[in-house]
Amino acid sequence: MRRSATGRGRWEGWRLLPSSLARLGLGLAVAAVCLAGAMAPVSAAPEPRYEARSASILPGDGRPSMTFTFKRLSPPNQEWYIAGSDLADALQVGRFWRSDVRKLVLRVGDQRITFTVGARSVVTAEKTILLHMPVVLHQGEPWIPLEFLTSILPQLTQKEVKWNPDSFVLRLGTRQTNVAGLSFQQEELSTELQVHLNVPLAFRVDDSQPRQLVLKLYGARIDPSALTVGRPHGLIESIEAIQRSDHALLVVHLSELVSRYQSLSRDEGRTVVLKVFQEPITTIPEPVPRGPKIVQTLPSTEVGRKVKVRRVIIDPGHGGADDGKKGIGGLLEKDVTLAIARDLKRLLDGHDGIEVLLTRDSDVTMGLIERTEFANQQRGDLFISIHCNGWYAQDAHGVETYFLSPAKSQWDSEVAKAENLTTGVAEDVDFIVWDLVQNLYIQESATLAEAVQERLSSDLGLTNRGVKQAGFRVLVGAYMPAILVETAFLSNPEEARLLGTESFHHKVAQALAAAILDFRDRMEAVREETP
Amino acid sequence: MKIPRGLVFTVFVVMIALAALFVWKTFLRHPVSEEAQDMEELEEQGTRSVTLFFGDRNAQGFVAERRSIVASLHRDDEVQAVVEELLRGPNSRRAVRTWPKGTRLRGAFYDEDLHLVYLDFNSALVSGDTGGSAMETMTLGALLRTIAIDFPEVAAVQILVDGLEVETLQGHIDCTKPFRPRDWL
Repeated sequence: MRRSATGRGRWEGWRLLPSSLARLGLGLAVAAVCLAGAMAPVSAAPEPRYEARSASILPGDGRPSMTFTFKRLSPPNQEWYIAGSDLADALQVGRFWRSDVRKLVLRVGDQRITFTVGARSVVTAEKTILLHMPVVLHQGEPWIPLEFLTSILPQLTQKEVKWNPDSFVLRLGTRQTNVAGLSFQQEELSTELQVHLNVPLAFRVDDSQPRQLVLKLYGARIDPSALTVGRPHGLIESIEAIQRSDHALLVVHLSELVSRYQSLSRDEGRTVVLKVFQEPITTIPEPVPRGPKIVQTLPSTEVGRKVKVRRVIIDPGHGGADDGKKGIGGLLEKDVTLAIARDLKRLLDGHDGIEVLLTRDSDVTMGLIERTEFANQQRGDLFISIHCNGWYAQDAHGVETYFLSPAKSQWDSEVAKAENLTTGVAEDVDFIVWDLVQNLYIQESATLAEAVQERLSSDLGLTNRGVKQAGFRVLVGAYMPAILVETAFLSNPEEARLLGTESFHHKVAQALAAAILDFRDRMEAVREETP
Repeated sequence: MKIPRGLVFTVFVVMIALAALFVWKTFLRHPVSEEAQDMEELEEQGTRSVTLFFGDRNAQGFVAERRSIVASLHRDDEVQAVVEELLRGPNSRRAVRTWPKGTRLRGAFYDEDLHLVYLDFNSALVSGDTGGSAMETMTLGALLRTIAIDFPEVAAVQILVDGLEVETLQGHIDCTKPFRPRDWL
């Protein structure tokens, strides 16, 4: 009420002026002088001199860092201020500014945080907190004492804020990681490294180098400094942690006494265990001159689940009504994938004790689930879906291989639990079981994907885009190691030309055949024995 | 002595102005404590900055861009505004728009109990000249990463096409169940 009366009072005052222009002019001049005088302490005074400095804000949630100007707006005080709009941008929250009442409301999550120019209070629905210095109006905008960010925001939102007054860097939140930490368990002849995960992740162990094992965690986001171990724990001498763009590596350096290892997951995939063994003194084998090769053995719980490679299911992507990607020059993905699959069958079927079955051997439409069902019904030992890639820009090129993301149905189960859902549970359970089938083979699928990726990139000279994970419909439910390979880009002029030639189809088929044999050798090298 | 009428008026105006200023200043020093301004009124003037993700030219990573949208009390409106910005495409020449031509958002609905966002697109999303896992994972990745960063409270996103669930967008990624945006960070 008071607000609107104030506004109207001023306007009515002007209306009372006499019509004479001279009088109006005089009145206006006097009023203006008086106004200026009266307003002086509020805003029209020359801006007090202030110190300004540019500061970096690191959001910590995956956004790039931001640079803002902080100012010292109250000369006697040492407090730095941030502009209200910058504060809202940094927090990435809604900003509601009413210049008439000089109130700024920030909506942080479900909370409304209200600031008022000239006031020290920060008001939320639950409480009012006092700042040491008031909010200041500066250049037409409310400026908030930095104290709000560094000490009040953490109270209101549990957001972690770290302010470094020397480097002028403000870190919001901690880097989100999904690897919680490491622990060790030592026994007389073995040492167990336990990697604790916040979410189940697929992993693979590379044992190709002597005296070290490299644990690759797909999709892991780590804080390398927290996972690096400098001192020995039993048979493990040190651990080096490396973050890559879509995976993390733990390079585990081992004592020379280690002769074999096991890798397994526990707690529904939330703990990855790497167990290394030394042989009892009496059974040490003859020394091998070129340095000992560390041998992988299956843990006792997994004996009997050893993967044998005899029947290979090859799935030419798309087909029939589904053309897949249309390439430069009118080439269709469905034709390329079928040509490669047929070549691969010709090359590998009946050789080295391997039988090759195709999900489709002609240009027919086939559902995604149908393809996996076919593979399961035929009791395939591994499943490879062949595709060609595409992108909106012509630049993208190279080969990439995918396997299924693990535990994809987690959200469903969480929500079902939270909501205590009674309807549709049967359907959900079906889906979850179907989904978890491929989880059983996730490690072997990762190994197969690495083998295929390695062969395609080295034998064909294609750019290696890496082994990736995603929720592929065609891989869900495969009761065998299953991957999807994106051979090359139909949207790239050079690769589209290659994909149109029979010689390239043949080369891809050869590389895939070699990869399948590599994978078989690797699976057969795993010893089915327990300590 | 006759006081000129003009002066009387002038003094009158000055007094009115001073009175108005007194009230104004008092009002400023002692701001209205009650939350008289309901948010509906405030809403009209709200803005917020958001971070959008687009593909890079090689489909290997994302390019972030900051934009400003109208802030709203309704999560649906903000989500809709953000997805529409994504559909508009990037400003940077380093970045690539990750949507088939003609893709439009028909609507966004936020289920507050489940923290689940439904995004309903037109059929251009599934019928354009598309294909390839890179395209499909980048389309989903750019969308879900953007939602994960701009709306951390959103637990899940269900994609619909013309109001219905679809098996996949381009024949690869399973779209029958909701995605968890934070898995795509």
